[in-house]
Amino acid sequence: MEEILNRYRDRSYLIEAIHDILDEKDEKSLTDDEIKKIARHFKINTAEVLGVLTFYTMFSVKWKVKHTIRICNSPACYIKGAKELVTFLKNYLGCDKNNIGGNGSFLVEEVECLGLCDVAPAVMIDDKVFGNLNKEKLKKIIEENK
Amino acid sequence: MKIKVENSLSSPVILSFSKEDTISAYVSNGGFEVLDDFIINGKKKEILSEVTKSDLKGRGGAAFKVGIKWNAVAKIESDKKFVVCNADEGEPGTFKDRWLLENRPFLIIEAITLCAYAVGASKGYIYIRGEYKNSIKTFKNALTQAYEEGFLGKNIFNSNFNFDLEIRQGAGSYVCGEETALLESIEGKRAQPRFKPPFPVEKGLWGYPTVINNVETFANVVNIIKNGANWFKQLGTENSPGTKLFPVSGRIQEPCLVEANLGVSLEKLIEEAGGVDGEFQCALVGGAAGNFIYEKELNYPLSYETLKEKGMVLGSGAVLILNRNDKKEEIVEKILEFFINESCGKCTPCREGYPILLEKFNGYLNGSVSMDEVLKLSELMFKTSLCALGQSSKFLFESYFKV
Repeated sequence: MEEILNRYRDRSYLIEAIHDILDEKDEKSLTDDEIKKIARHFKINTAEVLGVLTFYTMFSVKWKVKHTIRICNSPACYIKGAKELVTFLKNYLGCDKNNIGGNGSFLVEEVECLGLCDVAPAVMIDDKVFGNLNKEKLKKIIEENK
Repeated sequence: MKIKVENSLSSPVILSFSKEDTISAYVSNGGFEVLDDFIINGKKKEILSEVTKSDLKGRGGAAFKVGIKWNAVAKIESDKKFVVCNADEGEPGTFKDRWLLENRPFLIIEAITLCAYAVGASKGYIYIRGEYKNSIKTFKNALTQAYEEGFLGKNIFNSNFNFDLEIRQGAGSYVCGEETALLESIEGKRAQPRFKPPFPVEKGLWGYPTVINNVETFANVVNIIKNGANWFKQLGTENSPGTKLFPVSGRIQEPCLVEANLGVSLEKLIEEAGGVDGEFQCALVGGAAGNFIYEKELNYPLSYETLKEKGMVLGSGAVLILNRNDKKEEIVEKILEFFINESCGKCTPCREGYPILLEKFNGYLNGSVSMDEVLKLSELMFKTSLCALGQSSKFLFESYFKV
């Protein structure tokens, strides 16, 4: 983490730094100590770091997970059956109230338009994009990306 | 992604059928020639005058004249100026900027650099939304190549012009598409829109004069300067010159990105995309911040001024087709939930208004609230909200209640 922070001096890099730190971590969340370290590095209040962390949805993950599945449920995907797909996915992975399933390795996040409307309904698993989905296809993709 | 060119256009202006992901491919198609010519010959004023004469309007949704922004920044004396490219595409149904970022990155780099040269900026940012991982990757790679070949950095074309362009990633926030919220985000802060005035052209990034334009807007610039404003004005309509990228999705046979003259009809776009899947009900044009367009308006020209005359908006140009089986009211509910989630919380009308608006809309659906009451609240939010996010539902509801 120190190494990442040392790449950035100016506080305008706060968002970039958080991205990089989270990308390198297995569990996609920051501890209180890490938040304090980041604040000290950029010479800003812990509250400011927390403010940024809680504002942006991509940083909103509070639990340890291996993979994040972002499933689009905005109008274009919705009319192509995204709602049923969300229900199916959560049931298939046995998600808890925090939307974590697959024995703790997947977080299912319903997200806004991913700009994949031409292949709706679509999901992103971590950095990978999958479109034109149905239940069978989605099941297969999950198994291949466990 | 499928791309199409509407058949009244002889060739695309922005789209390209050859992939330009290497700089040599771009250069062999004549890329960077305009930049070379205008920098070597010191033609700053010519860049500004062509862009102004072209009447190019911002393609992000607000349709503000590009020439006005560029001239304003060029005129101001300041030791620092910035150019920012807004690539925070998040309007539901919109995927045009993603295509441009992943297929024509060098065209965007050349245009941003031309702008920087004309207005006197030495630093630029392109703010790409965090979810667009592939776009970020492609663009990073393009930037590296542009630096290696000397199209960015110090002494571009051996002139005394220096320009650095940097990528900043978003992290999941729709409001960042609003220009001042985006500037806050580049500064590493919560993305809450600023009060305007002052506008970014006077006080933008860190308080310095800043040009901020959408990806598609920049994608027009090189061709305007290469072929001249008169050439550009032959395209599109009198008040909305040029072509536009229309992302067509939903109940359509072949979802695709269509480039067409501004003023094209919805019927034409549907035809290009292979026809409706099912029986046409309506189209949501312009995404969540847009409006519904119905069967009787299928032949209506889609341009900034023609829609404005009818109290409507073109917005991002996204076209989401609904058929008779789709429930329009569910789309409206989804959009309201979207606005509730994405409201930044800074101004009361938007933060408090959307939850009440959703409640009232549900009331309307079960018969306990009148149409007027819903319209009145969305009108109030339109008049009092700080930015477009809080103002958008007016168009949605006015069009919703038309049928």
